[in-house]
Amino acid sequence: MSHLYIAHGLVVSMPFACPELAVAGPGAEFDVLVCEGPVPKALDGAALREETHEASAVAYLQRGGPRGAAFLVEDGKRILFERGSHCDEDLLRHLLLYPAMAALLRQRGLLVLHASGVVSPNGVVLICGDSGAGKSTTAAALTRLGWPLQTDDVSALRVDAADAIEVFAGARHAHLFEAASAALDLDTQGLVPNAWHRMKLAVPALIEDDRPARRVRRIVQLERTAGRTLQVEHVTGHVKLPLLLHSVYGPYLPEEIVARAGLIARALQSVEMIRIGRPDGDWTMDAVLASITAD
Amino acid sequence: MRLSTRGAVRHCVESGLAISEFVGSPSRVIPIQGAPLQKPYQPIGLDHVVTRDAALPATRVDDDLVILNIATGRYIGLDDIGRHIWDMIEAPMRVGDICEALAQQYRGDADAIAADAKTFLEELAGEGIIRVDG
Repeated sequence: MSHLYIAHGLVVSMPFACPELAVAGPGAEFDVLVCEGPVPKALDGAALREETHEASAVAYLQRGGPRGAAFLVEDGKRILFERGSHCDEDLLRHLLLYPAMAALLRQRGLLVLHASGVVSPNGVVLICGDSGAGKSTTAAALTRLGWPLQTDDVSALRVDAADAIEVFAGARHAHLFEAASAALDLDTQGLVPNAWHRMKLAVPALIEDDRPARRVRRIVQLERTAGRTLQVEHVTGHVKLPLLLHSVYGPYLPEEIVARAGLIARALQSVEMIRIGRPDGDWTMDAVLASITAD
Repeated sequence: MRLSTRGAVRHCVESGLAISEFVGSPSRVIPIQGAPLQKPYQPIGLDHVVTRDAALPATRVDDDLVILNIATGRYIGLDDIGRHIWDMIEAPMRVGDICEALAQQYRGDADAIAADAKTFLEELAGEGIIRVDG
């Protein structure tokens, strides 16, 4: 039995229930087929070979451990998975919805960022940053201010018909550390830690009833700094490019980046970019939120 | 690339940053096999004729220009003066004429401007994004 869901603007056919995603409407035809079967050990014609994954222009192979699964993502249309010997179903879904889905979105010509997004009154604000920078926590805090969650961790960008940058609706949960959830006064009763980030919880977030792709207004790069005060810098000019590329959810082959030159150009031209350095170890969320929401 | 206190054209190519340093985010870096990051500079004289590679994706961002160079996997950022020179060499142009135009426009020391402009063009040549003839 297959289940049809909506993710990143696509109808996805799954062989199992996936409570993390919204159910597709009746009569929907799938864009992406997820199915189980033997995943090859290596990829033919790979331009990139690493211990954990391989990639070519049309396929992505991710090897998995016994608790997870291996994935073969092909042509932006199909995700084949093979369970590990002691597969954890939560971990399987996580790997499917994040790295495997990100690979599929890359294959469909999108620019995928490692970012969480919320819908402000003037467009989506994407929160980027290295692991531990506080992307999801900041996004969750913004939802507490009434800005609905658009996406968590995987943000797929494209150019819309009016030549603006838009991001599809993705996850409906924010993955947060328990301490961050407590600091934000979120109800985490009954939630189980995320299988991938063992210390994190998948916390249901405020989302809109209707979740279309929405225009991106601003990208915020969160960084931890050794300073004692919050540092806010509006990034302009060519320096916007390394900020944007730093948040790309790779691996992209360099020629794939160049193939998206038009999309990247529009992002550089039309999206505001801000770098926020916050003191390491201090809870500065109120000041971070004030910087992000200031207009 | 900005005017120095001497009125000359100062250092030019901001970057040389490798695209490959970033595109592997969040977990890795992708080297481009066999591609040198930068070639030795080619000495450029006033009588050389230079032309930009029109096929490269270039994007105006505020006052800057961003150029993606697939051959080296690098991007190059030019400020307003660098962008001005880039615009001038859309068609083949003699280096001496470029220097003369810059000296007139920015009213600086002609020799200093010529020296900086040649260094700038040598860096672009080293990045492989302009053609040098003559």
